[in-house]
Amino acid sequence: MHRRRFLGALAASMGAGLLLPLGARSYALSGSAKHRFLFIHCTGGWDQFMVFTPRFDPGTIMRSEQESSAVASESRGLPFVDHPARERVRAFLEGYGAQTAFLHGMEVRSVAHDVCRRLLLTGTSRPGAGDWGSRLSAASPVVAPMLVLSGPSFAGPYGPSVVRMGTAGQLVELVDGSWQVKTAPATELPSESVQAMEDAFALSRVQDFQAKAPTGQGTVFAQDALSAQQRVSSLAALADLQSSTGQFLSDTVEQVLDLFERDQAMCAAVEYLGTGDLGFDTHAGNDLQSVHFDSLFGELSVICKSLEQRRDTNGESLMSNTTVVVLSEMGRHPKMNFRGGREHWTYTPAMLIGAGVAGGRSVGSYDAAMQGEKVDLESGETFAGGEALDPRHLGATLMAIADQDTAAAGVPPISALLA
Amino acid sequence: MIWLLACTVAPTELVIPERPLEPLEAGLLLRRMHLDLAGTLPSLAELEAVRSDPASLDAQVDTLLDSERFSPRFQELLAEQWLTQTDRTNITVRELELDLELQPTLARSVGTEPLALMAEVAAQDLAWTETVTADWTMANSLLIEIWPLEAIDRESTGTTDWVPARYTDGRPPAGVAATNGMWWRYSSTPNNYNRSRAAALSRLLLCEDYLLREVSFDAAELADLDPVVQATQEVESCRSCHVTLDPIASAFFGYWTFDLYDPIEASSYHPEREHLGRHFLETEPAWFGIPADDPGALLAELSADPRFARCAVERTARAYWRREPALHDFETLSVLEQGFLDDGQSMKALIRNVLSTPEYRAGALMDSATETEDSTRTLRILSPDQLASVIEQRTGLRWTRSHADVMWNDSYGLRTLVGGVDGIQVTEAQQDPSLTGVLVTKRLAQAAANHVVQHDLDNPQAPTLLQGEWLASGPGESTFDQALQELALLLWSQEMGQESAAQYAAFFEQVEQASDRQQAWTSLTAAMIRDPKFWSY
Ligand code: HEC
Repeated sequence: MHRRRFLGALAASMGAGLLLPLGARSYALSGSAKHRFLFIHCTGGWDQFMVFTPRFDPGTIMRSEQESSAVASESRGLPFVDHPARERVRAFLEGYGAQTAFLHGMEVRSVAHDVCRRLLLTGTSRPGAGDWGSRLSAASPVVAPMLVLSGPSFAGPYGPSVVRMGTAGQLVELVDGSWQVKTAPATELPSESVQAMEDAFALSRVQDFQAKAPTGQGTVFAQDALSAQQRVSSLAALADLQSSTGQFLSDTVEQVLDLFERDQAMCAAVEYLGTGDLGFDTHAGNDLQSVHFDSLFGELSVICKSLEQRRDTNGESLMSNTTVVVLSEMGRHPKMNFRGGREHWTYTPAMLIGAGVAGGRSVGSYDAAMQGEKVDLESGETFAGGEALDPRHLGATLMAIADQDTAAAGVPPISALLA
Repeated sequence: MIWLLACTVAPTELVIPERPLEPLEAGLLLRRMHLDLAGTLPSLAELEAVRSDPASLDAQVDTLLDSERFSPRFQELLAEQWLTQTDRTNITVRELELDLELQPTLARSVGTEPLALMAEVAAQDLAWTETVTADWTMANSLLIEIWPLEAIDRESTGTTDWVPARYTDGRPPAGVAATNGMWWRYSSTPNNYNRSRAAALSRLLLCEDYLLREVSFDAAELADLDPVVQATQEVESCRSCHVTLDPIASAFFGYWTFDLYDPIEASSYHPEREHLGRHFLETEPAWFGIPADDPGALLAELSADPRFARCAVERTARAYWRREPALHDFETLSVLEQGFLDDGQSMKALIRNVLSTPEYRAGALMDSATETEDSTRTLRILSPDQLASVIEQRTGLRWTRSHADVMWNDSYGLRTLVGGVDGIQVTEAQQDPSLTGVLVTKRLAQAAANHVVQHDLDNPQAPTLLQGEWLASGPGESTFDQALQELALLLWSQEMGQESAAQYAAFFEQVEQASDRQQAWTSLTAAMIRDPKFWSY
């Protein structure tokens, strides 16, 4: 066994600030979320040339016949690709471009979906780290700090604040107890009053356990057990949630916004697989992405409208304190393959909408070979002496938007993206 | 203190570096070993034996390694790292024209095949290299029905439906790398040309992850790149990985398919396609420069690569330590590796040694502990699989929904909600308590307690957990006090302290007053299952 190998592995896990000191976590039990995040993950690797990147360099970027009607355009200061088959993209940008920023050329350094998802959402390819949502919400006092309705999720060390919905809405059935009669054998639940006694006693047992916790990781373990137990009965607030399976993206998001409105969630994650749930991994038939993008932006318009109309418990518009983060784990190759598809590409864009975001801004760019160029983080200008963007910059930016300490991201935020 | 390990199989004495860690008390250590090696809890007699003679722990480990439960439990540990037990593969019951209800069983069976093969090698105590060279696999009746497999007459440790079997389609023997279960999980799109498979082999068997290497494409070189193919061998920045990756991929064209969703294509080996790698990837099949015509020859080379044994040690340590090995483990891992090689790559001997490390046995830190010890797991959490098997052992409940064990899948079940992996979206097992985990444990405890109390009331002659006279008793009676203590030993492998016993008795009375004695026993049993002393170890 070579020591060097270990050193290599270790170095890769440092820098992202994921080594959490013991006892550094504490969970408040009541209070309010000041800032909210909705993560929409477009699974499969989206085609940056369909909307975000109006580049048609002959020789480098190959387009399908359909895309020959695509033109470079601009709306509300955002350069984008306009196409008659994607009217809802233009409509969205006209409506909400002033609250929207594009981030270009973030490098994910892998071509495998799972590794890219991990990199994009946690900033490191090493296992063990939590994703941005779970980190942002770790200290949040709300019922469901990080609600995972669908899609990739890395809870890392933040298990007590991550609430998983289950692919078929299992969470809700567990919460309201209807789960108990759908299993074999079906069992009856005790009366409400007995259940309340059971819950209270269970809590006292965990308190007792925590008081006598062993040293080492066991201390954190017992603290997490206590936090989770203290929070578990408040999950009743989630009893009306419905599984996102088979729903329109905006319908799923409406449920999240209900929770935001009632101050019961701080971050939420939803997967978007596009029309027919076919996903974005278009190794063949890349034109499918056009359909996906058109409906994605249509859904985003509905979501933004709802964000504007809704008020939180302080009477503030949700749009004023919610950031929508739209991501995909990778981009697609500048050249089409012989199947009319595109292979994976290690640079991907991201879209930020809403509160805290410098709207109408487009930060980052690509060189002639479609590689991300370095950026001056303050001005957002392409600058050879600047920083190469990777997912940690995204994470730091989200932390800055949430007014949290960005040091843990290991790199500075992209201040040009901050409102 | 020096940790001396005496192995019964191969009497290698290893000197494992000491660490400032306090081992668990013998009874709780036995519980940890039971849960890790068998997924079950120790009996009262086993507990009594090690408490009166802690030196007998090693003999207990041997008994557990030889028990029927070892193989299924070892599969569960492998599953966390191999990620083959997913709910869906490209081929489902639809393509196979099977009953729709069989989907969870199909998915579980497919994902279990390579794991069962590895567990069989471990259980039979064959050299670990057999996992990549075996000319047999393990299969259940469903797999034998849908794949070109026949059961073979060989002695086996398989207790359930799983038996040794052999593919009849002429595929070269290559252990797990010749299982459909492996290649259905790690499938290759037609123009991925098996590269994902080569990468999976390297990651899983050598602990060398191509994808953790930093990829940085050189712009100038990329300018006129054909996106799909051969540039990988010409362009320098691609070669760094592809020069070794593509020759491995090239050896697997017998598994390469034109149509990912055709069950016949995906179920059989295609010897006539073996040469296609040379054509599509323009490279001869080889293992790091050593020519290897087919998967069999390639895996034979792989098994002789020193990284193979090293990786087995690393993965085994990770499985039982419940954390990623780190730099400070270097010394310990080196000793374990030497032992593994000296013992003829016996997985059982390796496990025995890993279970003897201070890291495994730790229950607390010594005063002299440093920050290094902060990563040591002094407490672990029951995985979904362990929860399922322990609940079944103690209460007889196997929780299913839509004909599938709820701890085994996510489509109908609760696997990721309790902290398990789904192999695709959730690829890391949760090691600490989680909100949804606590919620599931509550519902599971209620169901299990309900089930066992009713059963034991109906069957006083053969109770699963609660004896008839206990169920008739209540607080203040000596039978009740005794029952509490015995239940604590059965569920927690430790006594219930005086203070806790008084609290449990008060809780019992409270419920009995609000309801009746049966409910009080049910709530008490549920509370003991919800107690972290049950679900941590
Ligand atoms: C750091 C190692 C590494 C480097 C450098 C690298 N690759 Fe790869 N490549 C891989 C791995 C690993 C896979 C298989 C990934 C998978 O599918 O899981 C792969 C897969 C591919 C595939 C199949 C992709 C697909 O969509 O299925 C192509 C094409 C490819 N690489 C081309 C290239 C080219 C061209 C370069 C240089 C510009 C390059 N690679 C550089 C590791 C690398």
